Amino acid sequence: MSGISTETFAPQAAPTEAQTLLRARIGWLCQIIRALAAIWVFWVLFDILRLSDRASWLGNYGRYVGADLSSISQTRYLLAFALEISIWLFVAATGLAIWRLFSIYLSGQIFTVDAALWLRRIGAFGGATVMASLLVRPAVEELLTAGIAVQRHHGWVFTAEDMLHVIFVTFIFSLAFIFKTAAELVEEHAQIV
Amino acid sequence: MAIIVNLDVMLAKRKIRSRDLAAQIGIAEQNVSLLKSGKVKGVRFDTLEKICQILDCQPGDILEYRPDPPDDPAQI
Repeated sequence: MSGISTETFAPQAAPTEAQTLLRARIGWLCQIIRALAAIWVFWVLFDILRLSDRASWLGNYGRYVGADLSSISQTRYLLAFALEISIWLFVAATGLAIWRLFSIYLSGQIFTVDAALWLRRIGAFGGATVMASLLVRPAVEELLTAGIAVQRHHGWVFTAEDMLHVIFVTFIFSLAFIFKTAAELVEEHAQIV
Repeated sequence: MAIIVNLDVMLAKRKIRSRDLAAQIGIAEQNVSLLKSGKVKGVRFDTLEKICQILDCQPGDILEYRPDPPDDPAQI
């Protein structure tokens, strides 16, 4: 004889039959997205590490701004390189969050609060990556070209591609809130026998 | 909470085990345990119907309304 409690909850529900079926249908997609996320993280790292070739980077960047940058100090070069590396930290965090979310989906826990929280983290880390990228670009230009006459000064540039990234990140963020509410409803529904 | 689940009492009266009841209803034994302990948010009518059918009882034999005692004014 027990009173129905609103304070206690059923343990984390096992994946429902519908979720298991869905997982079977989207399993290959999850694997592909995880692989793409991993490739993206290492691709960006590879691109950034290529900047460690000072002569090559400064040569290319010099052509981009129309100036000879070979004489800049090693400190300025290293600071600019460190800024570029800092972007990768956000990229890695975003990639990890994507990997984690789709691993949760692969385990069949699709409409769960945990999955929704990882989706929100993707939005947060992705947003941070976009912001870092927007801030680092002009900072690197300033570091590499300060005191040097350049033909093309780009400064802070916000492109249509950046806008797409912002829209995409905001979309993911709002989707995460919707999914979290849906997951809470699913969990509540699971407590009705 | 004011709703009391007397499923364990009915199971004892009918000498039916939780596992057998769960199998006959078609739900997980864990859910029957949760229902017995009152750790659920609700009971579906079809689940209640099957329980009543198997235990040969009325919903009122399983669920009981017992008002919560009023708060002690001295503690407010």
